[in-house]
Amino acid sequence: MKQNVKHKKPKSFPIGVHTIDNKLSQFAPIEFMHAPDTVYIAMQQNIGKPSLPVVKPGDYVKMGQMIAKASEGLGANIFSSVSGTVQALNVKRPSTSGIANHIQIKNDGLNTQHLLQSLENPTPDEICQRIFDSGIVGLGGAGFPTHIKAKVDKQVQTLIINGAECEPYITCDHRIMLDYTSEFLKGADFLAKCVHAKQVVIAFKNRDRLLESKIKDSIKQNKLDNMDTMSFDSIYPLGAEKQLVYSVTGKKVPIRNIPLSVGVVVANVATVLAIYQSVVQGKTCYQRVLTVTGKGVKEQKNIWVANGTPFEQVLQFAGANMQDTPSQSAVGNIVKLIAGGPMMGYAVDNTQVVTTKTTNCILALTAEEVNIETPLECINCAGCSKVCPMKLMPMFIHQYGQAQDATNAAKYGAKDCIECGCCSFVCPSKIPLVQTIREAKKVVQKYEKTTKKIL
Amino acid sequence: MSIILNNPVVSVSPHVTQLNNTTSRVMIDVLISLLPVVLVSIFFFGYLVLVNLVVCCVACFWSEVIFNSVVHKQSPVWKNVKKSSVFSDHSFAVTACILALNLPTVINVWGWNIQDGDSILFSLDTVILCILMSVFAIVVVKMLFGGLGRNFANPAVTSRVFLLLAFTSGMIAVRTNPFFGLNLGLDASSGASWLGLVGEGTVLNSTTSPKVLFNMFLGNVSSAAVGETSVFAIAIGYVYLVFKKVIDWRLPLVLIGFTAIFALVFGLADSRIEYDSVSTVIGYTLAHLLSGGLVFGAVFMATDYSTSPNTFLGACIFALGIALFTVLIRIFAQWPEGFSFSLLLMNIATPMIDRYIYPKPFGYVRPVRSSQ
Ligand code: SF4
Ligand code: SF4
Repeated sequence: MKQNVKHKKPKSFPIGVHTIDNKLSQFAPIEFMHAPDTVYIAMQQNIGKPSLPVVKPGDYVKMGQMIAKASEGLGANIFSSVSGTVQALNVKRPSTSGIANHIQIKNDGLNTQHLLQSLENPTPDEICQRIFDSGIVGLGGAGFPTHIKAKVDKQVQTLIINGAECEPYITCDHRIMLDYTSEFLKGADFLAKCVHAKQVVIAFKNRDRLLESKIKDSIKQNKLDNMDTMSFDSIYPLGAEKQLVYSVTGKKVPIRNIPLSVGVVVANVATVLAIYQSVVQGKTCYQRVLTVTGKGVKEQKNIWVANGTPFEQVLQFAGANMQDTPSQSAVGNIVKLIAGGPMMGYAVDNTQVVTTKTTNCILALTAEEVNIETPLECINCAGCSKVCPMKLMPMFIHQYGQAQDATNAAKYGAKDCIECGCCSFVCPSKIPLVQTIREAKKVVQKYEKTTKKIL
Repeated sequence: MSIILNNPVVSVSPHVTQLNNTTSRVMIDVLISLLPVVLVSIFFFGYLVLVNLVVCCVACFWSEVIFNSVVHKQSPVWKNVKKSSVFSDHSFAVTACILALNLPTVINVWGWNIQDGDSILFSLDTVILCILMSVFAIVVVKMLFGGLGRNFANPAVTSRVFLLLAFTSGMIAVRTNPFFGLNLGLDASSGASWLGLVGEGTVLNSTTSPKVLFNMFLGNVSSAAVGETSVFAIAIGYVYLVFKKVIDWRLPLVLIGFTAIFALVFGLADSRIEYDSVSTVIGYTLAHLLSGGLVFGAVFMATDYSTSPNTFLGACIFALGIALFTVLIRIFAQWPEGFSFSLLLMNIATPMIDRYIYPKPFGYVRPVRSSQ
């Protein structure tokens, strides 16, 4: 039976910022990109501990074969994205979070695939096991292992698929829903079965009317009558987990808690597609759709990229400015390279960083797109606290964090910050608030550790 | 060939920020919103307003520059013009403007004036005091407390109160008006403003006739400071500030609303006034709102970022305090300058308000106290 969602007129979570949209690659259909000659697969692709290699140098691996297994606790399996020979373990390379271990695999170009058995009419437990076997994690960027999310110990009312994609520039989820509509919906259905969700809501921004109606039609065709779509005012961060749950169901997720505590599971579009591919086609999670965009590349694209491809190759594929020597004034020069979106992504200084499961976007920004300014003193304008979707007071967290005052930093919410970046976005003094709040978080953690008191 | 990143910038997210939203932009917006008030003041009070304004600007600028180069060892501004913080934010100009608008045209202390008959053409006293005020506002109130955003109270209002206590007798808002010589129907050359009458307890019912109220709204009355005379001009500035999202539109309205309520209550309780009809009561309340520094202060000074609370609830408490003290001082202390004092008082109370009034995080749950 179809259950009505509480809100009559869906309203998006009211607090946030209106960012520029800049969805340059919106109309670019998803393309395939050949894996490079050598891939470097990172051992840490999700929250939790790094995975443990199960291959030795010299081993022959197929595309989609497991090369590292999940570590205890929060972990996920990692797979080879090419067929070829393992050349080395523990290759130290730059990553978004400093130097990390990678497995180097030489591509033989044959693309011999290793597929799991496809499941027909899978039971919820089978789906959950399959999610674990395929190493699926939250592909939206957080990288929380999905099999843990899917093992629910509570009645789940609603499964929300986050199709809002509120970060500027990124379009991979949008394209997945357009280009793989029915696969995507089936994947959502599998996940719904797995978590025993009563209803599934796919959330959109109301700018994506066309896409929404396409999905609606497809839902009807596939007779998925527990599914529904909802669209919201486009405000950043609409897609943030707690804010999205509130928009869709009107329930507030208690702080430091997960949406499951109010009977909701939230999943990402790319994750859902990966679930479909692993259940039906037996493909493990070794490639993903990512958006390569920004004015620093000539063609903004959405592409299937093999896990472990250096950013340089992806940028080349999209036609970034190639040159032998650095020149200062060339137009289209990349001044900032970002793994992820402009609001929450990580800036990298090296094109040798490789893609991982969670790289949803490679953003090459030119000088005209970033505004780099020197921070000034805080003028206490309260602009930051007005836009904070967690209703914190960023200027005080900043202030007390810098003063190493853990008690007060925690009082104004240092621990509850979701690092969405709204505060830095609006700050007229251009204070890097997210950075200082992260530092404040560390101050609080240190304090809690030394005094054994929870603030 | 490879892709070379030229001096790649690595910083923490977010990587884009709002364009055209900088501190200096905010300050320029405030300056623009002050423009109508400045023009109207010059219209009503003559060129002496402009003289004060220029003197304050120059004095504020140099106080900040000299303070920075002496105390903060910043390289002196004449060596490094672009990088000086004075230029990167224009806050000195905002302080100077608000300060100049908070002064009368002439402050006659020592009588060093150039006069032509009765009208004062130039007053050296005023210039000296303007410089003194500017230095006080910038150095003592702002820079000594850590500069922009750290001042404990609004520099302009602190200076004004300082001046008021020191040189009360000399403050006259003389309507020289040599350019226009207009008299819009109300004899406004006398020093006594409506609030002065309230303080002395000689409020007559006829002083709040619609015509008088309308003149008050336009600014054609005498007032203690040049900026606060025209509510109309201030309203234009308010609309601009709200439109540009520089200030929260609610705070000035809440403040004025609270003042109206208190004025009504205390006005009714005031035995010195005889009310013969509802319209006199309303007239009395309106006259309270339209005179004195209330509207000017509500729009330009109470909304000052660093000295007003950062939450709306906090701002309401702040407004409540200002309104209450303003009305009390006006009616019972025989002092028409109620607003400046109460603003200063609440400025000082602001850190305390921010300490106790802060929003609960989204999804806050009261921690369960473990029973012992
Ligand atoms: S304080 Fe944290 S949650 Fe609030 S706006 Fe800033 S980054 Fe977002
Ligand atoms: S937005 Fe920036 S300047 Fe304004 S209060 Fe926050 S930190 Fe301070």
